[in-house]
Amino acid sequence: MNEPEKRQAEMEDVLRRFALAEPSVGPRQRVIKAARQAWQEPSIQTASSKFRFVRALAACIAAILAVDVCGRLALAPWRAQVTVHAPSQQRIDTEEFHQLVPSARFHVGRVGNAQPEKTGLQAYKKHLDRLLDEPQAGQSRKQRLPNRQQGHHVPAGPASWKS
Amino acid sequence: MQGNYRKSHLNTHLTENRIRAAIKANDPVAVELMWDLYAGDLMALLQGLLGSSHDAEDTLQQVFVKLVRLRQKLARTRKLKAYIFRIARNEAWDLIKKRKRQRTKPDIEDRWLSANTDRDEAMEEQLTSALRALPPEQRAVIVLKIHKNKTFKEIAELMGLSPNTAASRYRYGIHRLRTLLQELFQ
Repeated sequence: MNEPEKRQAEMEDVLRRFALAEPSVGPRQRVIKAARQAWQEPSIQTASSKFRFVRALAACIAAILAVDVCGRLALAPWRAQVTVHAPSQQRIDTEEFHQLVPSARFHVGRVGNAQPEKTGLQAYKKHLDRLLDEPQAGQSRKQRLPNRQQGHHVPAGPASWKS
Repeated sequence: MQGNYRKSHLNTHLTENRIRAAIKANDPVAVELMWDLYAGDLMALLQGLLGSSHDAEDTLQQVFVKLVRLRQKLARTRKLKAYIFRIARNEAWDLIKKRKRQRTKPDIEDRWLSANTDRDEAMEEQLTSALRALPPEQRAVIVLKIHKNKTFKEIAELMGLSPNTAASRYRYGIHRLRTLLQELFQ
């Protein structure tokens, strides 16, 4: 036995020389009497675990819907900035978009007025093409690009987009 | 040894089922069953946390009244023991916080340790005050380990800790106690 263990054993021996007060008959009767009196009152009803689960599920769904509605109304800037519609109608984020189009150097913005049936990369391409090709007097190609501050920063897309 | 443990575990399980059945039948005998099964360990835990037998008895009463008020939930809960001990710990911590706020201390005359021999009576006061100087968690682990012969696993279950935490609290507590009572060992 090393020194710390020896010191610990000594202290334990001292403690063992004392007994702990056990709950005596008096407190037993007192406690049981008080508890039996409390029994006459109605039990506090708490939500069952099933109800709590359903309530939590409903709260999650409500939160998801709220975020979705905010996104649709462009109230949530993070969402307005990063989501575009993929061809499969799945939402993809900026990183995924960059993986799909590695040569792109853009900041993905919302697809302007893309119709649901036209969503996806094709819609985005058309949107960019329209912005680039619409002739406006006195404006250079660069000037026709929407301002980054307005939420659209349109890049020079990949060559294949220029059909 | 292991047979005894299994037997006592089985008895505990059966009594817990009887408690649940009594609550469902709205039979107040559940209170006595709970007392017989848990009062000893609850009292030791509360004495350890509060460092006073008077406070421990009062808190024990509050715990039982609360258990009765929450009996419907108690009947549904799977881990009856864990639930009961959690209520006890919460009640004890409420009292500790209240005492801190009000800056009141437990009654010095409250003797919650009793010497087994006359020789040790002089030491009792020193030991009691040294134990009161420990943090409640360390004191509770020491009381449960030394005076109730609980394993660290059992202590962990009663206190809602991991067995390793219970063991380290015990080690730190014993070390600190030894430092506080240094003159006894010289």
